[in-house]
Amino acid sequence: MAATATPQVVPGEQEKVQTLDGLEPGYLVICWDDPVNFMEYVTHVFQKVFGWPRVKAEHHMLEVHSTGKSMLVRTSLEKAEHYVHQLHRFGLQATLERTE
Amino acid sequence: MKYIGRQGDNLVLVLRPRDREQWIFLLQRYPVYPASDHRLSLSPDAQTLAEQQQFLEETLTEQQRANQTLIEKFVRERLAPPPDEDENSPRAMRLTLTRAEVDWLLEVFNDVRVGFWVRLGRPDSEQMHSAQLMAARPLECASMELAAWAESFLLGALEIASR
Repeated sequence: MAATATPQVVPGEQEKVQTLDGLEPGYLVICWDDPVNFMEYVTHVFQKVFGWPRVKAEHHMLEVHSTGKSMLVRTSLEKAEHYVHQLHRFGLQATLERTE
Repeated sequence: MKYIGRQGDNLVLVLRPRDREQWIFLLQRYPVYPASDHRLSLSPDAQTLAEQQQFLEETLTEQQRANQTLIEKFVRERLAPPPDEDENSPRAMRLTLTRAEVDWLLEVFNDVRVGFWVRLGRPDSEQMHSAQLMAARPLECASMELAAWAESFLLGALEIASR
């Protein structure tokens, strides 16, 4: 992911990010790192597509940037497909993968 | 390009003649990112999602067509020089954009930027800014840089407007 600035994650806010553990099997929506999309743009798209607050969007953006990917949501095939369509529409590298 | 301020929920910008030319150049490149290059899934059994993959490509193609129509309208109605402008001495123009228009422009400029990156063979950060690549593919590299500049400007304006 291309950097133009260093977003700050407010300490303590990460605990509010919903965990994926313990949910029913379904489809994961995963966003993958690339060297071209700006970090601020990725945050902006996450906010638009998922309606997340900035802190949560930045948390996932930083996860993509630092680990190469971030699991964004676990949901039904239909909803996962919708989210992946939206992320691709905005030029992000996103896929859906079935969970066991 | 200059961000002037907010007018209600809208963003007010000033585009110099050169900025306007660059925006039109970028908008007229769209779409660059081929719909067929978007992958719905990376799993080995992606075959089972063949129908969904096809639907993704169709949806993106349809979206690109709709955006092309919007671009033609935007260039014609919003970026046209004033009727009394002397073409030998063009003036800067004031442009008021809604948040939805800013989001849409970001989507379009980003398609141009990412699309040219795909055309260049998805180079990594180092390769992307190498002199060798710029010499070999100047149009693609310059277009990416122009799109990056336009995107950064709009993201910066949104950031300032949100304070």
